[in-house]
Amino acid sequence: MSDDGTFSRRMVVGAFVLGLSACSSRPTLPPPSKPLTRTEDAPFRAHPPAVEANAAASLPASAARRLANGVSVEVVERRALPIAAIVVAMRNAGRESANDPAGLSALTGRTVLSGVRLGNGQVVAKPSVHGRALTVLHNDDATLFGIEVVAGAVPIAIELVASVVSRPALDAPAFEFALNEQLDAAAEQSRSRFFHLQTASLQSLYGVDHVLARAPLGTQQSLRTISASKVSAFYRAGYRPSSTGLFVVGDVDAERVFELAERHLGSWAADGSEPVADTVPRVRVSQSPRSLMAFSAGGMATVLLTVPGPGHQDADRVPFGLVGTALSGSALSRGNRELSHHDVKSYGVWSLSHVRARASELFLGFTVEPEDLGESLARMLDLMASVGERPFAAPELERVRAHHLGNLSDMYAKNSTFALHLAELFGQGGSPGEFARLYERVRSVTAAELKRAAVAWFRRDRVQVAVVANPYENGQTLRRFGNVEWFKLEVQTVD
Amino acid sequence: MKVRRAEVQIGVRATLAAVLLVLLCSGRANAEPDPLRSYVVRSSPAEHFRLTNGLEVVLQRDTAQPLVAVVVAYRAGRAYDPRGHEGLAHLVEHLTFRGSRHVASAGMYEHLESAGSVRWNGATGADLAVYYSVVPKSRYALPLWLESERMAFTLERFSEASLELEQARVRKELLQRGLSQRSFSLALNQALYPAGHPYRQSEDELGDVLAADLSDAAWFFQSHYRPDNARLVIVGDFPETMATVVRRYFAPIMNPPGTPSRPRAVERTFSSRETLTVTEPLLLDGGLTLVFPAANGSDPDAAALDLIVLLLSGIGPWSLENALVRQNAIAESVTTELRRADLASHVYIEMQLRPGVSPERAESVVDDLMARWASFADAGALREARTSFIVDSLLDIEDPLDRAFRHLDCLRSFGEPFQFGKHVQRYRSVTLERARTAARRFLNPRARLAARHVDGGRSCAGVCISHDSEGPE
Repeated sequence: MSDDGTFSRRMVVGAFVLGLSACSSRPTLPPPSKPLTRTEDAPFRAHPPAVEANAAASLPASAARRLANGVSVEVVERRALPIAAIVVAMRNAGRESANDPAGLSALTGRTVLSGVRLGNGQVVAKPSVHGRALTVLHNDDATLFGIEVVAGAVPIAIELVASVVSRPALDAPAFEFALNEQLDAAAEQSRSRFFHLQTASLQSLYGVDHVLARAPLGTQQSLRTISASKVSAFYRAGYRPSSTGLFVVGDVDAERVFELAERHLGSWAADGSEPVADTVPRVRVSQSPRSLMAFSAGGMATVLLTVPGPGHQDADRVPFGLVGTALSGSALSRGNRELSHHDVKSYGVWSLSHVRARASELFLGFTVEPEDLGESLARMLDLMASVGERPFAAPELERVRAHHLGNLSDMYAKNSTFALHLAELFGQGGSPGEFARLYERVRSVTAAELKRAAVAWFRRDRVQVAVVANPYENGQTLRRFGNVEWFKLEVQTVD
Repeated sequence: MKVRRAEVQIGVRATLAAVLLVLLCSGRANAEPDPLRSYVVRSSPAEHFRLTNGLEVVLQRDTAQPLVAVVVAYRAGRAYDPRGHEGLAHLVEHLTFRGSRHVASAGMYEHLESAGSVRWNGATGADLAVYYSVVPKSRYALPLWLESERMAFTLERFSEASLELEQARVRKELLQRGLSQRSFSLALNQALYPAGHPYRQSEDELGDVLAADLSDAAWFFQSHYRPDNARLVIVGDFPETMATVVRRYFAPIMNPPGTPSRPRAVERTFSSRETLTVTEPLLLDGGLTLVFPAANGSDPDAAALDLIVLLLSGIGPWSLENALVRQNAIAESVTTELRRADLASHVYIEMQLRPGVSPERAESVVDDLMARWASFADAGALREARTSFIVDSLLDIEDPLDRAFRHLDCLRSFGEPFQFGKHVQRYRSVTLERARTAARRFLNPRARLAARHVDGGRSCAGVCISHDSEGPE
């Protein structure tokens, strides 16, 4: 290097030239050829094609039977493919009482499935048919066991699900296996950012100890307090013929299914006396100003707004759901317009509807850059509070109606989702044919009903707010909306 | 009529009854009782033809469905990004939603949602840019109108304003992916694909996307979004005249000059045991991914490998869950997946290790299991896997959109739509010897990549990457 720094300057110039040449090494693409459009236009292209008038969706019919011991059976015959889905639902088996440790219901379902006594007395864990395992699902209203099989295996599958619910081993190996599995599942669940936001919101809505605010899988702490005898007691109380629904959708004959149900479930008698019908505390939504919980994390902010809504049997259940769709969950929702999603001002507003027998919740979520958090939150809260003030014009009503009918049709497209839907409706207190009534209710709902539901349920003081954000970047912004309670996430979350 | 005569009929269109009897019993059925001896599949066979402009069409009518699924796939995936223009395929996929001559910007959303479609989108994969929608059967023609607009009249609506908006949207999508996972998946991608490979990702995809100009996007669209580079698949309850409707919308669409290009790549071989280590500061949830090469869809060992992967991902004695989660407390969870693409296919084994378990221990358990596969002689397990795979296949074609994608996969591998009878025969013919051959070819424990995502603790200053190999076998 020379003393006068000439070499240094050369180096800088050299680096600059190298940099330029590096930039210019990005190959230049050829221009598009002209004309850009070669296809000739035609008058029919100017407008969308007409709706096919004679192609309205028709729902498949279901056949139902109630066995003498109270088991309910519902069958939908669909013959296109030689397959069927079988789901057995245990109504009430999803409902824990306030004294039960969180996760007891789900653990009972797993234990039941982890030791099934077959007709020959053999006990098997996680039984399967042709490699398809029987699975267990759990929600606040019911525990569901389901399997998909080829049509020829329907008799085996019905015998199997009957064995699962009526003849579980409930022995130590089954309990240990189920407990370990559920501990892992609970750990996995705690990695979800949405899980933390949802749990905090439900606890704020219903109270920390309320059963509706619990994580259905329980926590590491609550699961470790559950004994095998507690699981057995919960089984005896909740798994009873009178609270059992069997649902079969697919390439089956309804009469044959009724015969099989009678053969495998008809002689099942419950132990002991009927449990108390209502073990779930009444839902009391906080009337205090909304609470605001924030979880510390870096990067972008995620917001969850929760609106408590009516239970499944409430007349407002369908209008409430349609108001939710008007606000979020579709590309053209009011929420997406409010946050200028189409102009890329936001990542969009999504929604999740959580319907249960006694209560429901609408969750609206969005993710924003930290600097947009305050304005976006204020806009969304105003939008929700005023949703009843803006009329639901015919195009908007038809759009949200079409969205809901589309969702239902989508569920009916597959045997498994159809059977699960039937089972969920049963868990929520529905009776046979409930899916068709729900479909008709959506078809007939009016703008006036939406407005009434919007005014009744979307009050500003009912909306709960939970946020994952960085306290240093967003603390001041969030305090504008009320008292903020911060929590530290102990795990690395994903969503 | 002229157009119809000139069309090329691909394969044989079954004109017999819409009832297809698939007999699965072979000569061995007596010795090996098979609960799936026969199936009756009542869906119509798929109709497969090509329009004069080159557009390949598959139609499958299923009147049991309340829905119609429409999929258009262009050979315009990430592998087609020109060098130095990473992300261009993805950006153009976005731009095609910004309106056409007869559809306003965001009009696609509006039309589809108003029609009651709850599943519609576009996606850019390694090989394909795919657009799909599922609509009620009364609106079966709507996606045809929209997709013909996209193919023929979108380019003239590309604008600086749209480009800017979609660059911002792609930027958000890229940033939304977790930083940590992004660095790991990028390192894994670069370890799998050498420089110049069409599947190799660059560190600065975002920079390339933001540097793209309108002319680049227009050139890419013109090069790849053309009838002779696309496939249209429709499944569901549509009228018998659907082929006529397809011709009305798509037959007049003209191709731009030239012919579509195809990316090429030299096969990436695994000749040794390779280890990629990605170390990050304060990484709470480390993981381990093992990658083995895999047969592409048309390979004679493809069916055998599919069955092996099914057994690996099950819960029996040949499964990874059995070896890693149930018998040994090594991993909290493990998933096995066969990912097929035009230029490279791999088996991915991804696991979440339990706290305190070293990656070496997990790798050793996986390697031991894979070594056992070379002498696989469990006829019962193979029989169960065959049956299970066929049942899975039936369940996979229940949903019209899933079935449309199944047709696309078969077109890529075999040049013809999915046919259940052929599919069954393919898997029925897998023998123990064929399974052992496939295992030796593809699941060699001394020729694979282990990618470790590990915590560097507080002292770790940033992401550190090392890629070592033990040397050839």
